[in-house]
Amino acid sequence: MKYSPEDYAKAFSEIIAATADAKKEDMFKRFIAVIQKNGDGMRLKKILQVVRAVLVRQQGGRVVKLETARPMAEKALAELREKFTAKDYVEAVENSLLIAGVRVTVNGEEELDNTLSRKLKRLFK
Amino acid sequence: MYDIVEKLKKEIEGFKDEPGFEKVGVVTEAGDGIAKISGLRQALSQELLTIETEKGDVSALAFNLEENSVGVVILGDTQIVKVGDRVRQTGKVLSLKAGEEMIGRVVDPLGQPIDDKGVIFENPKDGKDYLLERNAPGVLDRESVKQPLHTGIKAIDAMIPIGRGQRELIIGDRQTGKTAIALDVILNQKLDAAAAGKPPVICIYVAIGQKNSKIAAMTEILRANDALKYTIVVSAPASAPAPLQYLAPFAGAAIGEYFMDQGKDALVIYDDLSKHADAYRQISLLLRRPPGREAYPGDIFYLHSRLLERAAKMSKEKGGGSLTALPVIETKLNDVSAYVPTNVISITDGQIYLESGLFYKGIRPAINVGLSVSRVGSAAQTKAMKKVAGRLRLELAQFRELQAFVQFASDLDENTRQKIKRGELLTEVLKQTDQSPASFDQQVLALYAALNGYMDDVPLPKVKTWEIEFLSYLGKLHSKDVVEPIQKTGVLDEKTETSLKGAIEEFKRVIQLKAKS
Repeated sequence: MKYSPEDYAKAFSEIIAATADAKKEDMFKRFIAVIQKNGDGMRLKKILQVVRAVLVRQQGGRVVKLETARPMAEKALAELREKFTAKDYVEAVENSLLIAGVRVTVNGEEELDNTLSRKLKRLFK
Repeated sequence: MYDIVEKLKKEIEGFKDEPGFEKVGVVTEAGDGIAKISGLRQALSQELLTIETEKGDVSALAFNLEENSVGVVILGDTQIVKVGDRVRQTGKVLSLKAGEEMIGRVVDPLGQPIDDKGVIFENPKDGKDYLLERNAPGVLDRESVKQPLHTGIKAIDAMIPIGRGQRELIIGDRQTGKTAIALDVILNQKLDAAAAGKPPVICIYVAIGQKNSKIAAMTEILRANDALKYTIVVSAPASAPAPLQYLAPFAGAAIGEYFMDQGKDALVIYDDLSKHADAYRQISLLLRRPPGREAYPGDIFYLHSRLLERAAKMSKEKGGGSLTALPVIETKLNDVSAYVPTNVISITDGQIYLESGLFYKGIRPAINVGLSVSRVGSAAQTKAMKKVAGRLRLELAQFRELQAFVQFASDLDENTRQKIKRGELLTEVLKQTDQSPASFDQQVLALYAALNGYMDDVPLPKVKTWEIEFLSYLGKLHSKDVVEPIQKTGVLDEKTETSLKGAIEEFKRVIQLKAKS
């Protein structure tokens, strides 16, 4: 492994900022090709996650992960999305281990855990 | 059953949970006993973290604080930690509970019992939390080393004396008797305490990377010799993960510090720091710290210096306790110039160097008295021993120089022959078998007889028998005028010396008569 996902993200974010809008898609394709050429295709998902986080943060936004035990209703999801700004990237993920409730993680560093699994865990600690 | 349900109902009713934003980290890599965590930017170095796995919480120690991640060593079951597990800070640094209750127990480096004798502290309030990583006592809190710590090994007590609070390295190749010396030192504390009428020095034996069978055998020897009553075994065997092997000596030091802070004398044996360095190297390489000489990380010196600096003799104002450290280092092919041995030699206050050549010649303990030194122990040597053994090192040094000529003995002048003979006799007197430490007064008496020419006419194969009979004779017939004054005062004054001379001559006459009849 020559480059870390953070290295890729930093390089891509700098180059994309200096690229004209029309050429951005082409630049992204080149970026993917470079990752494949460097033998880092297996880590593509992780690299893209970091790239997304860097780009979102550069624009003053936050990466928000909403975890629920069951698929969230469209209306509820829309309501939750409204709580955040347009610059924030909000993704909804299913996690059956949570049993019920919702867990919100911001930038992978802070969380608001209002799930039943956490409550049960605290109760029996 | 009814009570339990009611209690649970009350607990559920009274349960308050007000969720708020919390700092959290996520495991991004896991394996080989280490993990990488994203997030937790506020984590402290050496902070205890909790990894929330599907099968329960696992503790981890923050080791590498990097720009985008935290490198941790996992202290529990490494197999259940997986990528995506959440990690939380505890705000605590690693500590263990130390107390009198630990005496006689075998514990792991986190202070948990592993000897099937149940919990150590029945009451959760018992014991005191001691940090595994603690700063060594400062200069003003210390006192110079001046009180002896008798090892029961004649060669050491006579020529390489160890004082309470000293750090004396035991170094040598594999199978040269390093652990045997450590064991004898522990066993001798009982003899020494009985003679002085004081409680024995609390011993902590830290086994790092040793075979489980060896640790079990060692514990059994301690138990059989009644030495487990004042000993604690900290076990991090070869099967334990590297992080636990890395923590073991720090746990031993923390337990020792507890007793030192109580004003007691403690002795901690790190067996051995070579394996400790290897465990640290493993962790460091896995955490991708830059390798240095012999692939050890750059702070390997600091690792051992901060550990051994914790040995100290405290001042009276600080309770007057002491912590003596006997680190063990295993060399490869007698190479003391390797990285870790030279480091530890320079940190400690002296070394006991064991040589495989001497061991196979039958000289046991196989101590090379030429290369062994004690830099601070002479101030702590008992006066009687100092008076008797002052000439011992010189006579043995002269013998070593002339040793090459032993086979031409008949062609040598009388003076040289005499020196060789005396050297051979002293070498024989200094031989000791395993698990037979000699009390301090016995050592003084035997060495007095040997160094003052009273044993010159004893054939070498009969030296041991002569010594045993001589000590038994003095014990039975000259206890009051010779043995007890030395035991009680630690001094060989003129009056006692005159009595001793008379007693030796008397003993020699008795054995001559016995031989004739």
